[in-house]
Amino acid sequence: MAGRRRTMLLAAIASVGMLLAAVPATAQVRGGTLRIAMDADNTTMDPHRSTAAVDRQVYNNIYSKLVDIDAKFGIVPQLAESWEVKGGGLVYVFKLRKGVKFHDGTDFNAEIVKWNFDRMRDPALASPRRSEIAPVKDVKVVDPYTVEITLSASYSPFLTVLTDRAGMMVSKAAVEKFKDDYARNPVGTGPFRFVEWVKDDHLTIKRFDGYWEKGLPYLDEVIYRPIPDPSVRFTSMRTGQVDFMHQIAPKDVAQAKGEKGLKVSEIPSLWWQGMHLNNQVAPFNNKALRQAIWYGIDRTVIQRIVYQGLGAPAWSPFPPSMWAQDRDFTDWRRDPARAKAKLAEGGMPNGFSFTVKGLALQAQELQVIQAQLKDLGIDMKIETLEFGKLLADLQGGNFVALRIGWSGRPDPDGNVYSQMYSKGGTNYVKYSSAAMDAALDAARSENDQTKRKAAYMQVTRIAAEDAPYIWIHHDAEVKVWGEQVKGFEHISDGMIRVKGVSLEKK
Amino acid sequence: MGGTSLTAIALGQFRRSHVGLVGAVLVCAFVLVAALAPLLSPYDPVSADFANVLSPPARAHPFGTDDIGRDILSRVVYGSRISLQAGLFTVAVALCIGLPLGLVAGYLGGQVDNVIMRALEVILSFPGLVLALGITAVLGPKLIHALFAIGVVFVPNFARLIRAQVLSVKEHDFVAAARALGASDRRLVLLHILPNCLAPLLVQSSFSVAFGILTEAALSFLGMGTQPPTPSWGIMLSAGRGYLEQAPWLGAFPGLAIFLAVLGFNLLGDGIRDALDPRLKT
Amino acid sequence: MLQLIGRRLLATVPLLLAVSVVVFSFVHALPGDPAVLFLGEEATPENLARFRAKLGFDRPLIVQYGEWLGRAVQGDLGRSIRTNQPVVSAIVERLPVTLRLIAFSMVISLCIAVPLGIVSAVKRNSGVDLASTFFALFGFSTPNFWLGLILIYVFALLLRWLPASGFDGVRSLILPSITLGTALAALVTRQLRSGMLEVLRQDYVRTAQAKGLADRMVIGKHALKNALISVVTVIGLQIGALLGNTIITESLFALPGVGRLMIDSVFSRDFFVVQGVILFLAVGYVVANLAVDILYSYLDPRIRVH
Repeated sequence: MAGRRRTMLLAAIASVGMLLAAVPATAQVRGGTLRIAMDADNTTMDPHRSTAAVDRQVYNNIYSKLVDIDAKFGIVPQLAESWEVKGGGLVYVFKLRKGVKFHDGTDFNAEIVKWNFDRMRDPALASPRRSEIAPVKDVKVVDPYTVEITLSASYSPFLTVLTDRAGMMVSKAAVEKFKDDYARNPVGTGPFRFVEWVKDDHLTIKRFDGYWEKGLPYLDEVIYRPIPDPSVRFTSMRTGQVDFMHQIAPKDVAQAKGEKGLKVSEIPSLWWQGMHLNNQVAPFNNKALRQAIWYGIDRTVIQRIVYQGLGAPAWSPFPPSMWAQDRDFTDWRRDPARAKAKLAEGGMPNGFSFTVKGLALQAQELQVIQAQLKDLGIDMKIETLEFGKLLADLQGGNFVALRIGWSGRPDPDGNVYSQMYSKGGTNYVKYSSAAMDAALDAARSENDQTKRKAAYMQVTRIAAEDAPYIWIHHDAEVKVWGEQVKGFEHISDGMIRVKGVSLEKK
Repeated sequence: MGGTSLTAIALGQFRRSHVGLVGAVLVCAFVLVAALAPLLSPYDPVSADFANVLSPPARAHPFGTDDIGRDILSRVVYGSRISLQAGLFTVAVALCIGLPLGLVAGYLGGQVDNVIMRALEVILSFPGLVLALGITAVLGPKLIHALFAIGVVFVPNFARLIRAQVLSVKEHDFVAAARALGASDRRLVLLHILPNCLAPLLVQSSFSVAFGILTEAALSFLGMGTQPPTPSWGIMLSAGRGYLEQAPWLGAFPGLAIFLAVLGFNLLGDGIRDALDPRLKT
Repeated sequence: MLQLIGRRLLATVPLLLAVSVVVFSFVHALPGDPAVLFLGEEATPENLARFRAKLGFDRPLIVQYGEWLGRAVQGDLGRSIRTNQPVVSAIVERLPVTLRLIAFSMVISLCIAVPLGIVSAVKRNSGVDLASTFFALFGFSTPNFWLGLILIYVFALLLRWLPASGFDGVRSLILPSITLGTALAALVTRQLRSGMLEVLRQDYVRTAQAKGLADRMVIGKHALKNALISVVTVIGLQIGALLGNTIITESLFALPGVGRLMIDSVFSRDFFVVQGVILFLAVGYVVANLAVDILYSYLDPRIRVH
């Protein structure tokens, strides 16, 4: 007994020593509560059911994933220590980390991974993740810490997909215990564990002492506050009511940069902002009328006025940060003559009227578009909805036009496949084109990036022609925090990873 | 009847009452602006000028421009039309529903009176804005729905007023006398009841218009009333909220306009009331 | 006295019943299919039918009303369509903030109005009187959301003395309470002033011939008491406006109160919540009016003798 204890002691000293060696010279302060102002409240705590970008923020801190991405979009290990791709890209073998525990004390192992995948693929659950991992044919437990996943077709975005919700490992015991209520009682293996969620007020997570990455996290607690109004959110940042702010209105960025005590980080994002046009219902079941809108709006004006010059105009779902973007594409600039011709072609030479649904905070942008379309005789009416309702209407197909953004994925496939593939999981506009399907599939199964890019340029061309969506803008990814916040690594996927964050006493 | 008529005395009182005068001036100005809107506004209130977004007050745009480059002065001027419509429509709804209800209740009395009074009490059980919000929520966020809702809120006030007048007139002997002489009910109503109501009705209307303007602005501010790009003062205030620091002129002028209009009608109501009932004057 | 309260309470029951019918019909009998309201006009017939069946809308209205009322009386106002949280618990969660806001506003407005009203009555036509008249006029006519914006701009953004929004303890209630209480303060000031003047004038004439300064105190107290009665009247009349303005103020200052809940659920077309909140506010309003009535009749001996 004594011998073993001594060995353990030596091991502990050794690991502390290694840890100290790894930690940078300016040691980070332990403890404290980080308060984050969010733009919306979570919709659910179950990553296998979530469809809102805002949910991912909390998930990134309570759920560990198989793999994660770094600032250069490289794939780094997390729950999977290493992996091997065999069989021409059809077989992935993951070696899992040992000694990882869930917040409820249960073990993480290959069985759990298989169970998670089975859950996502279960048609009864109708998980939005299903289409993200559609090519997964079989998940096999090789040994307690090795999983072998076989795909039905080559799928280059696979690892990138696993850096998001599809790779987040959920506790089997918890799901079996809470069933439908799991959505409010999440259990993961992340650095923080869920404490409480008071809808529309706050969501609290506390440090998990059994976290597998020793020495982390530094913080004791993180509190997320949903403050949908951007002015109110920004003011709470400036007056110190919160330490960190997600989603700042473009018009406030200049002010934030000039403010003492605040740090602003601006990097390219993965987002696209646009209008969903219902391809199945009048008037937008008529391609010419969709094209009229495509040529009728002025994206550069919108970028200047609404986005204060930040970010970039969007003519496809690929932002400038992605290699897949067709930088030389020009067939998106405003062309009133062409738009009018399209109106005539669509049988509405004197214009038509339609209603677009959107958020109140997009009022300025929508009014700019309204004014631009009015010149062509198109009467666009604006209906403001609350975010949860907007999302529900989108998913239910209850719209003619709907203005909403897509938070983006590191792999270009994640910005386009699900929305434009005829059977895509988020193809709420019900767009269907054989040519598009072919291009998307080709891009997905190809492993050579040059060939993939060629396929995505095809996608851009077809999409501009068919205009199922009107891409308007690629946001800049901006985060604002108080100077007391240290150690935040800003990555283009916009996630607020707090495991390495600490709070300096002011 | 001559210089000593009630009207003359009232007008005299009114003129001497500074309060009423100021109110009258404000109201006249408001109505004039609304009527002459196309002449008074230098620009089209909904046309956007993307080159001149959020410009501060200057010679070209005396009130500045808003977040999509529309001239605020023109929008404030045209906004008076929305507000005037709001006020008048509110009173119209309240009168159209309240007047007959009050007449019938007062005239017929008994069970009918009882039922009508209970119904009015139910309306009065709802805080005004809550009722307006509820009705607008169900009917849909359009200006007309909001105005109808506000009008409903005022029905009890008008109905009770008419009813009180009817009851007091009924007491007078001359009614019995007139009846005995064969005067029809309609004649009684038109010649005796309504003229007596006129004064308190005016007072109540003035206050109701003020409330109507304020509530329309409030509902539009909340996003439940007028929808963009209609230039309502409430919507303009709502937009101004996001630019409080960068462009305070967005909200300052519409707010001021609402304030002056509401003040005007309130003062006018006060003035008329003081003029007609000198005992209440302090 | 107890008899009076008893009678009043009894009379309130049919009123509350009628109120419940009106609230119920907001969603179910007014023009507009609740399914279309929630799902939107472009909803497919299958979606609409499924929605209606799920919420029991396809049964006769009377049955739905009966069920709803029965559950409401037991404290079950249904669940939010959006979050599935029981409506009652959503209201109860937010009630403390709203109550605190209203209480604070009343305190602030009385603290301003009472001294101002008294002084301006006693020192009639002085500078203070003029100031209080202006205050009364402006306070009542200023749209309270405009006032709120100005207060935020000056005190939160320029001077950084107070928080602009959100609820972080008592400090966050100061600006909202001032915003909310100003209109009330204006009215109370006016009412107090005219009430006191009325009484002072009567008594002053009589006592002018009588003894002397010692009786000033007696007049003062008597005048004050009578004036306070009229203040209670004003407050009673203004509860409705206060409740309405609370909704606006909470929205402007992003306070997590019952008013905000109403707005948010209106925008998410979460009409069970809308229904529940309106019912709650209406019942609260009726009860508050009843309380004021009872208080009023207690204070005013003339009515009591009746």
